[in-house]
Amino acid sequence: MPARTADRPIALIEQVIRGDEAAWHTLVESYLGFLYALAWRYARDDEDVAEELVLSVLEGLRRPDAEGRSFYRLRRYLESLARIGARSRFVTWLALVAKNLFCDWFREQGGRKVLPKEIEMLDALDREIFRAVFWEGGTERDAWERLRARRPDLSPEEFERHLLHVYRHLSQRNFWCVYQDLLRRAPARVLGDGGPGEGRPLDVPGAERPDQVLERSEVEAAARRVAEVLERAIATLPPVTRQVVRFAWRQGLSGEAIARAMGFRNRQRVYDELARARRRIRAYLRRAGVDLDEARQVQADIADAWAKIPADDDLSDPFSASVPMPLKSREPQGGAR
Amino acid sequence: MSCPSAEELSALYDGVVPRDAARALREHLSTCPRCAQEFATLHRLLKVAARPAVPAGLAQRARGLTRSSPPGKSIRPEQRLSRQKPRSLSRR
Repeated sequence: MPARTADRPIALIEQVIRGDEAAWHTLVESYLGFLYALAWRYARDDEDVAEELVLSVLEGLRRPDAEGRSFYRLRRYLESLARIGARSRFVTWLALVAKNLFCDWFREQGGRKVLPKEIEMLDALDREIFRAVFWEGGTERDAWERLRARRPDLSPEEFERHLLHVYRHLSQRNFWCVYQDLLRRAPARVLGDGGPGEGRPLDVPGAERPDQVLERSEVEAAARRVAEVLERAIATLPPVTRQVVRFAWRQGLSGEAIARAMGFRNRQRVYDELARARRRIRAYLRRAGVDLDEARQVQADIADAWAKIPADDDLSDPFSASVPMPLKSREPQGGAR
Repeated sequence: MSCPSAEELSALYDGVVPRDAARALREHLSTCPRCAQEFATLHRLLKVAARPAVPAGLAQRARGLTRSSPPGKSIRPEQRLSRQKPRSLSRR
């Protein structure tokens, strides 16, 4: 298949990479408004922060790689056509890179080389993982591989377990974007694959009331039982439906985002796939002898805990809020709270 | 597969990744919470509707960035600090 690309200001970027400062000016002027709009969302009404975020992205775009070649990010973008056989629109790529650089900026503001207090209290491996993931950069996989060089016996499972521990202890101030990530992931874990954090959405700081503590283990055990059957039910779905289900219920993606990821023309197809999945899963649960009322109650308890978590007003999405609860999909949104 | 790069994720978002590679990326995203979240965040960012006016000062500072940091040199923290406006003044 021939490599495909989307529209992008390639010629301009090529000029920038060759060191043409006028082209750089044009590029900056063309995308300054876009970057500022992105930064504004992260800066929460603070103009100074928004400006610093934009400048951090521009600096990040100009930054050289280890071999001293400037604009290494722009080079990677240009080279993606040869490397991965595709090149996105420049704005799509820029939004993603900008978001990552925003996170770097916030991290730096939190004190780059001083461990946050809540991380200092954790054990040595947690602290090491924190440094590898949040200070040394790269993906989590990169961090794991670096750590493996120092700790050959570190399994991916152990790494993941400690990393989740670190995520749970990070305060909002020190890494609000990770915290946001955690909140969105929490309910999906009930339907998870038995991995770390399985069935423990109530562990999110602030979510637990004292009177819930005794009930928690029962709720978790019930959730785990239902989750196991659900996993088996999901495994019987057709591949496309299964993938949509994972995106919606496990990863908490919105309908539109799922349509994008799946390459559907619109999100209606996502809803259709989910409706099909629900029908099949209900039938499977009945055959497996799972009490649907009990399953709904488990979901309701989780929704109750979920409601205690501070909402992120920018990211509210009625679709993604409803999909992690497949068994009560026909109920009104507030009904289980 | 390992976690996709920014180039791969944005190409998937735009629907320009060749079919087999796209299938592998989707499979990864559906099982990797962090990458799925990255994708969802990208989607939200690109839906930004409100475009606040760019402050005049920012455009100037962006131009100044070029002069203070020619290609091949990154900006030192002290340079960045010197450009920073005093917050108390900018708030008035």
